Amino acid sequence: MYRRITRENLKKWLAGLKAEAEVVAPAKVDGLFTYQEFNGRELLRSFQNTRLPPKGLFLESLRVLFGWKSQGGSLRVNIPSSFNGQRVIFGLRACDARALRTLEPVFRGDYQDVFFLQNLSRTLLLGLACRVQCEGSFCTEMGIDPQESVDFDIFFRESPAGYIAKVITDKGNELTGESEFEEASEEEWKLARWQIRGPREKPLFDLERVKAKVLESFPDEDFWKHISAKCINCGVCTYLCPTCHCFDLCDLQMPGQGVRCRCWDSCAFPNFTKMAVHNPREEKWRRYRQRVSHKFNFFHQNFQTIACVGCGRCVVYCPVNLDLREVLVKVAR
Amino acid sequence: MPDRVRDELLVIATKLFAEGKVDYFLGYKKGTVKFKTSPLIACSREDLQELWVEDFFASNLCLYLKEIKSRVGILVKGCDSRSLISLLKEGQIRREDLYIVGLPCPGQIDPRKVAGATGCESEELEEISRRGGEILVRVGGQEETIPKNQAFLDKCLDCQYPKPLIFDYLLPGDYVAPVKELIRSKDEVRQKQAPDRWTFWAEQFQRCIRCYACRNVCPACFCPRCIVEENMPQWVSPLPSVGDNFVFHLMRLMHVAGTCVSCGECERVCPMEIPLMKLQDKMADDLRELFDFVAGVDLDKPLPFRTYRQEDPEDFIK
Amino acid sequence: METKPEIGRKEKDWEPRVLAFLCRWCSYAGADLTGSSRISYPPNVRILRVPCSGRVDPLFILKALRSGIDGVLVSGCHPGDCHYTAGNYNARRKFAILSRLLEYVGIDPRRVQFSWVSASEGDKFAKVIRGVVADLKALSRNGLSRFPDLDEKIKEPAGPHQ
Repeated sequence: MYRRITRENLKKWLAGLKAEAEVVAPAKVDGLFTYQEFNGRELLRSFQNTRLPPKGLFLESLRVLFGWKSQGGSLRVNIPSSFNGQRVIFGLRACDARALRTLEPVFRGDYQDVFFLQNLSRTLLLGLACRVQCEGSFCTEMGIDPQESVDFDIFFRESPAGYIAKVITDKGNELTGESEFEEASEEEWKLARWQIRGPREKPLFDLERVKAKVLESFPDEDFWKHISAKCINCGVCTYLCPTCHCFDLCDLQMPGQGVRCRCWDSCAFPNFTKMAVHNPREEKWRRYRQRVSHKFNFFHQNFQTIACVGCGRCVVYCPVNLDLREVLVKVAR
Repeated sequence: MPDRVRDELLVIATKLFAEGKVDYFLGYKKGTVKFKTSPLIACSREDLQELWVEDFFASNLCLYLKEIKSRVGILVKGCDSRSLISLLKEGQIRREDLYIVGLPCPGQIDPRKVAGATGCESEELEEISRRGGEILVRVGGQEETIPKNQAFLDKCLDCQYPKPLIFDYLLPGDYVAPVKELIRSKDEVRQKQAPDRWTFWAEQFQRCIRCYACRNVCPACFCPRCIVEENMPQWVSPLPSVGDNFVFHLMRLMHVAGTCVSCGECERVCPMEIPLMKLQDKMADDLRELFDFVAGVDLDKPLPFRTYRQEDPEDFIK
Repeated sequence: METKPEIGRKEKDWEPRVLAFLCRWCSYAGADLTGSSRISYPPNVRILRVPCSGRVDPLFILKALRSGIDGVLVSGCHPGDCHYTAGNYNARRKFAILSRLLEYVGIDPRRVQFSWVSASEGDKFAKVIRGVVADLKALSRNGLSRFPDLDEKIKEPAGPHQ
């Protein structure tokens, strides 16, 4: 099902949704693109993708799980109120939406993570098709089409007059049965497909080959040592990655009260696997090997998807330009 | 940079390996994304083929001296050479383990500033190059020139040490123009009132995600195990809340005081673009004003907190 | 959890909490003398003994402020009298830089104070403490602490941009 809407009407429609839901859209804050509450302002024109991935809206970088306070001999535990309010996120890219779908089985497995799942179920995902290829990205190699995706509730493509929307889910349908949207044809949808600037003729690598070879190259110490030599063990690639989801639990305590919080953690940190007696990934190359192998093979063994969407953030923002694309090409060789 | 500089460097580096004088050579190679140069850790002559010298964002290679403790050849710009001196003073490296190749630096270009000056997003910049004394920028097929002081990294705008202070071999090339030509704008945060200063920094630290890129890329942060990693007891909480981020950054700054040479890497690598150099510059200005100390310049001058003068200021002490 | 250096509102009987790092050889002994001389001083202070004022890492001061302490005092031997020769001289330099840095980020300099108190200056120690407490009372509760009030429902935490 396809719909058409002008730019002005889209703004009005989003503003109208605020009556029932929290509406979030990309904005530029302090020079960085990020998702922020929509306040009726102009929607961004020259926006490629946000710095931090939208995973932060589902798996927050800092989440209070519960708190306790001891008063007069008794202990009171405060559980945070559940997040029932509806939420609409506009402007998501196909890669980030796929990442959310990739994360879902992790948090819906043996243990249902109520924080993530509540956030997911209360949110409508409205996607925006890309018009340019982000630098460093390799989404197409990962099997993602930046202009066609089923991971959203509604997917928008920009057209000269505004947007053509493809309604994918029932929830999306309900939402667009409003007056600002007009019926559109599949033709219009197809016409709104952009010739993405800078397409590559040949894919960088073959994903299946990478998947197989990464397992094969696991015992090759010298390969991994050489390739990870310049890594500085920071958390930029993991924190900016839309599929990375490792977290740490930390208590903050003062006499008589405390909170337990969850925050992001990174497998690149030296002490990630440190235990009482031993750290199995003491050396940098072991951690890097684990990171690549986990994303491109082990995760697939468990969840039947590759834990990478090729968004390119790790490539662009790595402080020492350790390019995952180069690594994958070398692995596939 | 002309190819002859790169070729000269290749000759020197190859010779070092051939004569068995070094186990590693730290240089640069071509970056795989726009406007970036990648560090190159060469272990052999074959690795040296990737050597490249470029204008942008050439990182401070001294950070690898934290890991590599054997004999190493290293390429340093003026600011980087100050890191070397700092590390030598701290006893972290030995002079006889190093073969230092000095690289003249004409000033590093900051793509973010260029984007700001041309009114576009960083992603939209297509090409940046130097032409004489100007910077040439291409956006959307159109070319325009901008003056140097709108394109250079802030730290380059008042570079006091363009020539490497310590080297075994100095490559030929252009240096960043003398100070009087390029002026850095003053830090307007210093002029604000206390509540506004707090609001400014609280907003900045609200963005910090505690990736520790700033700490890990810093040559002055050489503790094998950072106090933040300690969790029995937990001195600094790993949670990225504003208060804990304050503690982390202020503590880190105080810990590197005297060793930090304002190389600017922390600010460059921060994925959230927090202006960390503002804090560092304030501290460096204070060290200079109060104790006549500039980090990484004088190999013989003792570190500021390892020495004292009777006349040190104590008006703040009861 | 809103984090501000000053919470602003003050409860009626609010008393500031002070943490004092006292060097073992001079200031701690001086504080002891204050007590044995039966000189009164405000009970707001808790004392942590350190071998030397130079032992005090800026992290201690920052952590104290983060933990909800309203003010920190670091006290050592007079210049020239340090048991370890130069510890207090180094401390003097460190704290000069730290005070300026704290002021630059907007934390009131009255929250972190320093003094030289010798083992015989029982009077002075009391005076110093009285001064610190008076200064802090003019301010309000330190907002840098973790969780101002758990009686309210736990709200969304103030994390980075999501």
